[in-house]
Amino acid sequence: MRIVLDQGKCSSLGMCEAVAPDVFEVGDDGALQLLQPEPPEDRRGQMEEAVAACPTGALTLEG
Amino acid sequence: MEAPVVVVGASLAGLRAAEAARRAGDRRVVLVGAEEHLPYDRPPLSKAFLGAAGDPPSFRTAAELADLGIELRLGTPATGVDLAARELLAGGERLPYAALVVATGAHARHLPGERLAGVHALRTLDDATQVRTALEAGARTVVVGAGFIGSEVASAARERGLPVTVVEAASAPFERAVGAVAAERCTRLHAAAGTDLRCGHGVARLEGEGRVSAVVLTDGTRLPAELVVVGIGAAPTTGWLEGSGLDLGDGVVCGSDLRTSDPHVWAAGDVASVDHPIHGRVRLEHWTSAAEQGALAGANAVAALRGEPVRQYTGVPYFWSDLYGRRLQMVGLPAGDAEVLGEADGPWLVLYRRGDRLAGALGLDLPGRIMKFRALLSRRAEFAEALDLARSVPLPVRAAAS
Repeated sequence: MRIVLDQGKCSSLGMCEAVAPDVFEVGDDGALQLLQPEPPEDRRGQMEEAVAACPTGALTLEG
Repeated sequence: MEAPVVVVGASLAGLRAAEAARRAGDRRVVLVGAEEHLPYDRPPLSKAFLGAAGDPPSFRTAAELADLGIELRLGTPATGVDLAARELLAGGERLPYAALVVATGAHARHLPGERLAGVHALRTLDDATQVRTALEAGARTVVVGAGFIGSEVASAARERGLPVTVVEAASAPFERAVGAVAAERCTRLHAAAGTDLRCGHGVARLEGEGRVSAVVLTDGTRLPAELVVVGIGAAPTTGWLEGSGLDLGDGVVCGSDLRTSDPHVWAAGDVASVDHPIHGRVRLEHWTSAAEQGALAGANAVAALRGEPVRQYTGVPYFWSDLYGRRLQMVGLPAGDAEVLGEADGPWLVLYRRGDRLAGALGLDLPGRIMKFRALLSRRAEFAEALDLARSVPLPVRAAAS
């Protein structure tokens, strides 16, 4: 499973970080860092929650 | 045939409720909406949409909604509900339901005389399209109400180089949303951008014949205007439920599981007055609470039909606003005392304290910090811990304007 970030859509609102702070982190410059671009399979449910929480639809899951 | 889950209100909360209900089982789900449009995203209507061309994106295409198995009834305003028969009254029809999710949102409050042409609220896509057209024509703009919608409209007007005046009855913008200390700082945002902000003034009347020509304040000041945007708050859309027997207060009264006074009816989003386990009774008008409550109400409605346990709404309130190229973000609630960190021009941080607990945090241009406080709020952290976190890393310095 891989997280795909669309930088053009990301608006630095941080909802993904609220769901999984060890996977997503918004920096002081507003850029979203993927701390774990390929999280383990047992976290799929939480990653789906993070994707759904994004107000701008900037995140998708691959694989 | 088994009755469907019916979701009434086809904006964010309703859409998420319908999606969650479908995901939770193979029951039919019908999504009923008053507007003709497919569900669309509202925050951009007073932000990016006022600056650029193009419709804000629908969340889902009609084909995607069909693939999800959601049956759409758009342009179908609900007029009532028969709780005993378990039927929704909408568009002249009676729609039977096994469970009903009420997500009819809120509607803009109005001023007397608002029927003049050139006077708009900003709640729907149709409202926003009219405001944008007037801004494109270079309208001299007066905004009534310095809340978030009004302030964002002022920001859009200034970005186009148009003169704009904002009239606010309270002594500072966003006072109710962020408290007095932070509101004083928000005043500076308007001033720095060249917006003429007039606080402590009421509107006596709107002038014009057919089309608005001026806003007259209670002190007699006459502000010429070609566009008037009224942003004086929103009221929960519950009129259609009067007399239904459903318990109504400031919105549809529901428990922490979003169940209303009727066991087969649930509520979510701006219309829902929720018994929050941490904050007490709250009616939130934020994007994230609509999304979270919608998904929970849809899932709970199906769970209850199956006799399975339901979950509580424990979401931390969160909203954001984009003003003059700056970003405001608030998590939690602006309760109690406020501690202010950072320079007046920003970035700055306000921490709210209730007893020995953190109640909320508001940041200007601190996108990398605010979610750390949301995490503290969700575990009811002490205020001292929040203050330590805030002080442990110096606030970033504002980049020089380019």
